[in-house]
This record gives sequence, C-alpha cells and structure tokens, in this order.
Amino acid sequence: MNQPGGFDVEALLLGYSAGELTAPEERALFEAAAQDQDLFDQLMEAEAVRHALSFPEERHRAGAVLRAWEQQSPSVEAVEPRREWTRAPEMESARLGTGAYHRPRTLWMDLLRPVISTVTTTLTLRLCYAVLTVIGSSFVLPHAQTGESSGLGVPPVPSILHLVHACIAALLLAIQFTPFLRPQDIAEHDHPIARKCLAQFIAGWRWAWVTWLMLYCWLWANSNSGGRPDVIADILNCLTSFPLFWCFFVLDKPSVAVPGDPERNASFRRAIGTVWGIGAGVALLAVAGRLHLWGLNEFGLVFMGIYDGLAIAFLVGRFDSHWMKVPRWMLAPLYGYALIQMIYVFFFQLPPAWQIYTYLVALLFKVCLFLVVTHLLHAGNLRRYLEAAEDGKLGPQTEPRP
Amino acid sequence: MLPVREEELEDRQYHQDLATVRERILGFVLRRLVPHRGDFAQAEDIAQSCVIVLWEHYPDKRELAEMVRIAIGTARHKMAQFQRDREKMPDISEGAADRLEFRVGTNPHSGQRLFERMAARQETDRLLLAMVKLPERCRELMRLKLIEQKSYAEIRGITGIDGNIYEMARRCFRTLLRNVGGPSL
Repeated sequence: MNQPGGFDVEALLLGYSAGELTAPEERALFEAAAQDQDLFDQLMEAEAVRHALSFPEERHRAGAVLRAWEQQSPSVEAVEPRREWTRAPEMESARLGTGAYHRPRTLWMDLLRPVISTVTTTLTLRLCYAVLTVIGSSFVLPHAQTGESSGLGVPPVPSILHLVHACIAALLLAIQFTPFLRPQDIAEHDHPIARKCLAQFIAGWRWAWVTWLMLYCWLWANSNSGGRPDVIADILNCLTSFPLFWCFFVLDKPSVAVPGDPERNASFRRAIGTVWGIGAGVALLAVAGRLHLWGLNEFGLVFMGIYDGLAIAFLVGRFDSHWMKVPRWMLAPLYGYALIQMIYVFFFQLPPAWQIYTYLVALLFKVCLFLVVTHLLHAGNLRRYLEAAEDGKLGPQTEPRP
Repeated sequence: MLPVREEELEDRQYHQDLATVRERILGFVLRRLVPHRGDFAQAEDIAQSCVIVLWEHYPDKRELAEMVRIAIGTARHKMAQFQRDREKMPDISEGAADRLEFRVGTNPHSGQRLFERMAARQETDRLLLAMVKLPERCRELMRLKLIEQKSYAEIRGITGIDGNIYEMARRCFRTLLRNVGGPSL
C-alpha cells in the first residue's frame, strides 16, 4: 500500500512496530494515519505490537512460546497464554465454539427457570429433611421421642454424636498434614509476601480445626455429667471463632511486615488484638450469663452466637471475591453456617429432636466449609488471590505511608 | 474580507486537527467495541476523553503527528480501562497501581507501572495468537524481525531467504496486523 506521498506505509508500519523508524518517517506515518481511517486502525494495532515488545520480558516470553509452538506444533488453545482474569466471556464461548454468550434468551426459558427452581428446591429440601430425620431419629433418645423433658444427667444430644463430630474434626484436621489435597505453594522469589500470608492462613485454618476438635472432645467427655454444656464449652465455642477471624484478616489486611516497612502489618495486629479482646468480652458475658452473675442470664449467649456467626460470615465474605472463583451456589451453605450460629442462644430451648437435627446440619455445613477452603488451597485459587494482592491488583486498602 | 489574526488561524487549525484525531479514534473504537462490547455512546466517551487529554494536558502539542502519537497511547489506555470496567473488575484500580509505585521490600514488580505491564501482557497474548495463525515461513520471519529484533541481513543469513525479503516481510506483517486486529481487545 503506497501513499500519494510516495512512501510505503506497510513498510513504515513494520518499521514502527520494530522500533526502526526515524523521526521524519514516524511523523509522516502519523500524519498519513490522521487522514486515513484504515491506516489509523492499522497504526493502532502496530502500536499494540510495539508496546508489547518494548518489554524485554514479554519479548522473551513470546520467543519462548513460539519456540515451544515450533517444537510441539500444538493447537492454538494449548499455547494460548495465561489470561485467567483478562479473558472476555465472549472469547471463552467463541473458543469453546458454543457461541452461547450471544445466544438470545427465549421467553419460555425465562419463565421455565423459576418453575424448575421451585420444584427442584421443594424436592431437594424435602429429601434433605427426610435424610436428616432418618439419621437424626436414630440418635434421639427415648425420652425425647416421647416428648418428655430430659432428666438430670440425660442430655438431649447423645454423646455418640459429639464423638462423631470430634472424629470428623480430627479426620479433617489430620488430612491437612498429609500430602493429600496439599495446598499449592507460592514461590519465595516471586511473591514472598503472599507466601507468608498463605502460611498464616493455613496456620489459622488448622487452629480453627484444633479448637473445634477440642470443643467436641470436651462436649463428648462432659456429655454424661450434666446434660447441658458448661462454661468451658462456651469458652471453647468462642475460641473456635478467633482463628476464623485471623484467616479473614490475613486475607483482608497487610499481615506481613517487610524489611523496608516493619510497620506494614500494624493494622493487622490492631485488628487481631481488637477481635481477641471482643472475643474475651463475649466469652466473659456468656459465662456470667450461664452462671447468673452480674444480673445476667443465658441471654449473654446471644453475643456469642453473633460473634461466632460474624467470624464465619466475614471469612466467607472474602471468598466472594472473583479472584477466588468460588461458585456462588457453594457459598450458600457457608453463609447458612454463619446464620445458624445466631440461634446458639435458642439451641437449648429447642425440642431434643430438633437439637439433634441442628447439630447434624452444623456438621454438614462445617464439612462444606472444609471442602471449600481445601479446594481454594489445593486448586490454587487462594494462591492467585494472595499473589494478586501482593501485585497490587486488588482494591486499595491503605494509603501509602510517607 | 476581514483580516484574520495568525493566532486565530492557528487555533482554527488546532481545533480542526483535534476534530480529525477524535474522528480517527472514534472510528477505531467503533470498529473494535460496537456492537458486542459497547455502544456508540461509550465509544464516543472514549474518543472524547482522548481529545480532552490532548486539550488539557498537552496544549503545547499542536503538530498533527505529535497529537496522533499522544492520542494513540491515550486511546489504548482508555480502551483497556473500559475493558476492565466491563469485565466487572472494579478492584483493579488506579489507586492500587499508584500504590505499587511506593511499594518497598522484595516485591519484584515494585516500581513498575502495573497497568503498563498488564497491557503489555495482554498485547503479547494477542500477538502470539496472531503469530501462530501465520504460515510457517512468515511466522519465522516475524519472530526474527519483531521478537528477536534481527536486521534483514541477519534474517537472510539465518533463514536463507533468497527473494525480496522486504516484500515478504511487508506481506507477512500485513497479515499479522489483520490477525492481531481480531475481535478481542
């Protein structure tokens, strides 16, 4: 393509991308592009090529990818560079050849969808209830089945259920120390901060399971001696929330000090201290309420339920991040777990059979939480989140300190 | 005929050049964004914001070529921003990028413009996808010229091309640009 001025624009475009043009040639190219839309469009593309290849590491990467292509001759998809979050949805559908992204929605599908949801929800929940009652009724003690109140020393939740809880907690804790479902590691030289954050998160997560294990072991050991949980159980219950808050703050705040900025984790330390203090206060109120001190009664347990629920809700809220790529439906049981913490104060007022059902649901939700977090660790979603945080790709948290 | 002052003539020419630049950017953005990624109003916003950048930040740049050079860079930046907004990634903010500038410690990316790196990564991805669609000889030629940054004499020595290597490079680059200018940003 030659311009009236006599210069070859294609050669100029190539020269521009290769960074070989002289200043007069560049000026001529830009002036020509201002007068010709097609040339301007080509210049924009050439500029993208020039810009990309002006980074030595990108040139190096491009060369390596092309060499790999030449050696292996794979398909386009196989060498498509990493574009996890930059890939446009329509590119994805086009790549898959489905074209689903632009497919117009039909009216009948829009109408049918809520009907299907209603039917599915009704059937699924009915099935869940049936399963729950079948399992739960096998644990319900005779006095509970007849509707009698439990006598002294006869707890509504049988000790075997506490033991089941404890065993499952021990199993899930033990799994974390095996090579099975091992978390993806972060390279020290690439993301040293993210690596430490991941270690902090894993430590907090394991402590959460240790405290759960302690709680259920205590409940099991104590189940035949009083019928109702005692103050130790309340304190342990409160302790289970602290590691969850810890995990939340690791994901939420700069939790690692760096050599040039030892105060980088100051806000993290403040938050941890505050939450620890609140937890201690809540536990104190619960114990005082349980013992009817300071004019309090069991209402003090309300705060503990809220504290426990908030710990889970805050943590699960972090999993909402698109960087984590947790399917939205998977978050439902986790938020559900946070919600049922709030009924802790009413738990002992529930009919014995209901207590057992609630207990089983809590166990189920706890396993869901384990599965989601293990998936995030093992599949590398959490690694990507922490690396993105270190690279500054997440939202601003604090202004840079002078 | 009334005499026209030289400054007024210059201003008139400047505004005409601004309008020209706006028209070119709008044309490009329309081709790339509308109808699947954005509408006409959004394309106009991008074009207009480029002109505003020229007007407000580079008032002394009055040569058309210089204005085009600045506008091209600005348009790339604005389109990338539009794409980020469109992909619902509000977490990725200018503030976060700026903060990275101040980052100390052992972060290997410290001190580099995050968005520049991100854009370069995306553009390299597009370039690679375009390159692998080229015929083998073209791909080799473009790899040596653009990525390895070899001279034509060196390329001739490496590849043993006997014909008009300039003509071949031109044709290959034309195809490459066509491939690069695909539907994706």
